[in-house]
Amino acid sequence: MDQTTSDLVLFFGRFHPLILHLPIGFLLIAFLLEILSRFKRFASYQPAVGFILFLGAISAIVAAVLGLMLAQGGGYGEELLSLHQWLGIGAALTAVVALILHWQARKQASLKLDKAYISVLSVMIVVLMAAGHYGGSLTHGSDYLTQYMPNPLRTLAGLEPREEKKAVLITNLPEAQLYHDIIYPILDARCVSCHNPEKRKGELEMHTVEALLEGGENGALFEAGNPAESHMMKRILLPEEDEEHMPPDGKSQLTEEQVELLNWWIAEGAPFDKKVAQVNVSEDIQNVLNTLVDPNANKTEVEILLASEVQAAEEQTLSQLQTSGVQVMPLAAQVNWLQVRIPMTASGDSLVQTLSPVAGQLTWLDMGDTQTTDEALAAIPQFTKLTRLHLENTQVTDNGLQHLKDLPYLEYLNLYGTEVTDEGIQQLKDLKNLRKLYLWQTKATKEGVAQLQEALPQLEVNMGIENWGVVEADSSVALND
Amino acid sequence: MKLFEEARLRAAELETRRHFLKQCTSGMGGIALGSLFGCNPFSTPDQAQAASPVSINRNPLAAAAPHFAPKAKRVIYLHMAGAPSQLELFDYKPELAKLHGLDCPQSLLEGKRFAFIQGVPKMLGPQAKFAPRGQSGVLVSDLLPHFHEVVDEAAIIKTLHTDEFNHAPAQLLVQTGSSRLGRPSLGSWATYGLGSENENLPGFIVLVSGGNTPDAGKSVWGSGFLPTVYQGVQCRSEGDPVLYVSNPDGMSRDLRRKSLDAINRINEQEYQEMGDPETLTRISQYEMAFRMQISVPEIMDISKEPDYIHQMYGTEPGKASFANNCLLARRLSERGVRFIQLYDWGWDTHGSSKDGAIEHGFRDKCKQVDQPIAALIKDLKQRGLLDETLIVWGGEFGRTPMQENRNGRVMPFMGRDHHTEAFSVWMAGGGVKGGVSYGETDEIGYYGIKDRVHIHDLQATILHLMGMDHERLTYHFQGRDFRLTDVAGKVVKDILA
Repeated sequence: MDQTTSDLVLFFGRFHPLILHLPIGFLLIAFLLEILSRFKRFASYQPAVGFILFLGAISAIVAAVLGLMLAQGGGYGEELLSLHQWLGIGAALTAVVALILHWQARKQASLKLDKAYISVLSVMIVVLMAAGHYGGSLTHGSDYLTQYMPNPLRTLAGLEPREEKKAVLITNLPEAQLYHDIIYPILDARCVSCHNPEKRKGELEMHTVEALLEGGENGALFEAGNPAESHMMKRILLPEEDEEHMPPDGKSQLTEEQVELLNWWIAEGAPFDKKVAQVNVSEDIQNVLNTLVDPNANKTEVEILLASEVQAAEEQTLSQLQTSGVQVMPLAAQVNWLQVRIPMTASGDSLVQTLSPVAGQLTWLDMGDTQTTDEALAAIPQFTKLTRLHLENTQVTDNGLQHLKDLPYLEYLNLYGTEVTDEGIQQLKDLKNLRKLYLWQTKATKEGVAQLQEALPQLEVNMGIENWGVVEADSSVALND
Repeated sequence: MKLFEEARLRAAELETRRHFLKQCTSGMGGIALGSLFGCNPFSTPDQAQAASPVSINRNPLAAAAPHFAPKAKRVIYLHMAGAPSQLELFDYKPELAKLHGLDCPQSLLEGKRFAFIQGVPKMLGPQAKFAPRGQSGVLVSDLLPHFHEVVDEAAIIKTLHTDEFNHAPAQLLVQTGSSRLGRPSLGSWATYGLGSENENLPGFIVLVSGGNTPDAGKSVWGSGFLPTVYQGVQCRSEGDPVLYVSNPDGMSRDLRRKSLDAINRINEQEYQEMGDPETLTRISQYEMAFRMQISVPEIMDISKEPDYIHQMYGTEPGKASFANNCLLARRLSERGVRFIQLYDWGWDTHGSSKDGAIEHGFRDKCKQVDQPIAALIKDLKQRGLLDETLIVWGGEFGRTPMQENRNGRVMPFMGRDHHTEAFSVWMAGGGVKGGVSYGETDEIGYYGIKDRVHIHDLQATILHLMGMDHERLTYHFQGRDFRLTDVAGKVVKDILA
C-alpha cells in the first residue's frame, strides 16, 4: 500500500468513531421497538421497525468498513483489535440477516420465521454490545470501566480490590520541586477527585496552580506563610467526625506526615516554583521528606525485617511444638513471625532443638528463668532472624555466647543473672543491630562494657541500679522561690 | 370454604418443580449476590477476625495474638484513687503563684459546676517547688524526689481531661470507658483480647492499698458484659492473698481435686446442653483456683526477696501497703500476668482535714508512693522487663487552681476541688518515649490549650501499645458491638517511642 492511499484510507478511517454510534443507536432502538410492539398497546410502532433496522444495517456496514480502514493505521493491541473487528463485522452481518428475515416475515407470517428473526435480532444485540465494549476498551484502555468501580462490585466481577495509587519516589531530594514533586501528589491523591472541573465540590478546583490560587466558595484556600489561618489547613485539622473536616468522613484520610508537609509548604510561603533546597527544612520535616525518597528511611533494620513478609510455618509443626511444651505464637494476627517461650519449669536445652522447623519465622525467643545451659545456645545460630533473646537467670556462660555472633538482627539480649564475663560479651561486638543488653548480676564489669560499647556505640547496657544514670536533683534551681 | 380449599389444592397440584425454581430465581440470586459481596460489602475482611476468643474447646484465657506486634506485653496501672493534684506534682504554673490569695475571676466560674466550690473562691498557688529533672529536664516538683531519678523513662501528659467531676463516675470512666456501671474494665478488655501468659495465675490481678477500695467499688475491675473469666482478681498483701483460696480444715488437696473433677463433669454436661460461655468460665475458674492454691501463696510471699530489694521499695512483708503492692506488681509481671492494677486510696485533698490537706496528707501520700514507684521502674529496668511492660500512673481527674471553699466557708487547710479540664498522667516503659512532657495547659493550669488528651484517647493509647486497635477490639452484646473507647479515642502518637 503506497503512501497516498494509506493517507486517504486513514482519513476515512478516522470517521469510524463518528459513525459507529449510529448503528448502536439504530439497532438498539429497532430491537426495543420490536419487543415493545409485540404488546398490544404499542402495536402501532411495528411499521417503524423495518425502517430503523434498515438504517441500522446500512450504518453498521459503513461503520465496519471505516473501522477496517482505521485499523490499517495500527497502534492498537492485536488481540483486542481482532476481537473488536470480528465482533463489529459480526454485528453488521447479523443486522443484515435480521433485516432480511424481518422483510420475509412481513411478507408471509409464519411462526418459524418469526422465531428465527427474533433470535437473530437478539444475537445481533449481544454481538453489538460486545463489539461496542471492546471498541471502548481499545480507545480508553481495558480498565476504563472498572477503574473507579467500588470494591464490593469488583469482588463480584472477580477483580482485585482497588489499590492505592503508588507514590512515585523522589530520587534527588534537594533538587525536587517542592510543589510539583511533593505537594501536588498529595493533593492529587486526596483532594482532586472531588475538586476538579467535573466535580467542583464547594466550587473549588485543585487540579491546577491557577485553580488553587482562585480558591472556592469560602474564599482563598490558603494564606501563604500562615498555615494556622489557612482555610485548607483548618478544614484538614478539624476532628474527623466534624461535618467540615476534609477529606470527608469515609474517604481516605491524609496521613499525619502529609498534613505536616502541607503545613510546611504553606508556612514557607506556598511557593510553586521553589526546590526543596531553597526553603527551610526542619529536622522533623527532613525525616518526613526522607521517607519520600525511601519509605523505610526512618526505620531500623529490625523494623524493616519484621515488616517484611515471611512464609507461614506449617500448622502441623506449630501444633507439634505446642504439644511438646513450647509456647509458640505469632507476633500478631495475620503475621507469620513467631515468638516462642520456653516454660519456666522446662529445660531449654532439649526444647530449643525442636524449634528448627520454624527457624525461618522465629524472631522473639524467651528462655529466661529456665534450665538452660550453653548446650542450648549451640542451636541458636540457625535462628538468623532472632531480634529478641531472653536468657536471664539461666546457666549460660561465655562459652555459649560465641554462638550468638551471627545473629544480624538481634536487638535485645537479656543476660542478667548469668555467669557471663567481660571476655564473653566481647564476642557480641559484631551484632550491629544490638541496642539493649542486660548484664545485672553477671561478672561483667564497667571496663568490659565500655570496651564493647566502643564497637557498638548505639548499644545501651544495663548493669543494675548502681549504674543507673542518676542526675541529682538540684534544689538551687527551684523556680518558684 | 371447602370449595376454596379445593381450588388451592388444585392450584398446588399444578405447581411443578419448574414453577418453584422460577419463583425462587430472584431470591436465590439475592442470596448468591449477598455471599459474593461477602455479606456486608463495606466491612473489611479482618473485621470478621476481630478478637472473639470464646469458643468451644478453647481456654478463654489462652494467650492470643494481638492485632499488630505489641510494644508492651503487659501493663501495670497505678491508679491514685481520689485524684492527686497535678499543680503540686507535674504542671508548674508560676503565674498561679502570683495570683495566690486573690479572688477567682468570674470568667472562670461562669457556666461551671464544681463538686464543692461555691461562690467566688480564692486562687491557690502551687504548694511545691519545681525544677528541671533528669537529663531531659522535665519539670517535676520536689514532692517526688525518687521519681526524679526515673523521669527520663516517663512521658508526662499534662492535658488529660475527663467528663465527670465526682470520684465514682470518673473512676468508672477511666477504667471502663463509661461513667455508668456495667462496662468491662480496661484490664478485662486486655485479657479478653490477649489472654494470659501464665496459666497458673489470673490474667488480671488487682491490688488495693490506702485502706479503702476506690469509690466506684469493685466495678472498676469488673468484667461488665464480657465473660466473667476476664474479671480482675483482687489479691491482698496481708493475710490470705486471695480470700478462701486455702483449703478449709479437713479438706485435703486430693479430695479437693476429686470434687472438682466431679463438678467439672457436671458443668461440661451443662455446657453441651446450653452452650453458655459462663459455664466455660466457671470450669476454668475452678481449675485456676485449684492451681492458684499453690501458685498464689508462693508469688505473693515477698519475704524471701533480698534485703536490698526491700530497702529499695521500702517494703515491709506482711503489711498492706502500696510499696508491697509495687513489689508484688514486679513479681507478677515477671510471671507474665497481663494486667496488674494497683489502687491507692487517699488522694482526695480538699483541705477539710489534716489528712486531706495539700500541705500535710497529700505530702505524706506522695512520700508513700514516690519511692516504691521509682523502685518499680528501676527494678523492671534492670531485669530487662521495662521494655515490654507499660506503667501508667494517674488519678481519675485533676484539682482546681482555686482553693476549695466548701459551703462558702474558709477551709482549715489548703485544698483543691475536683477538676475535669486538665490533669496529669504519666506512662513509662513498653513503647513510650522517655523524658517527654506532652500537652500544655494555660497559665494557671485550668484548661488544656495544646494537645488535649481525653480519657478515651488514653485508653486507645494503652491498647495500642499492647498491640490492639481500640476500634477492632469489640464484643457483641445486646445487638451491637461494644468497645472500650465507645465511639471516640485517638492514639496519642507523639509519645510513642
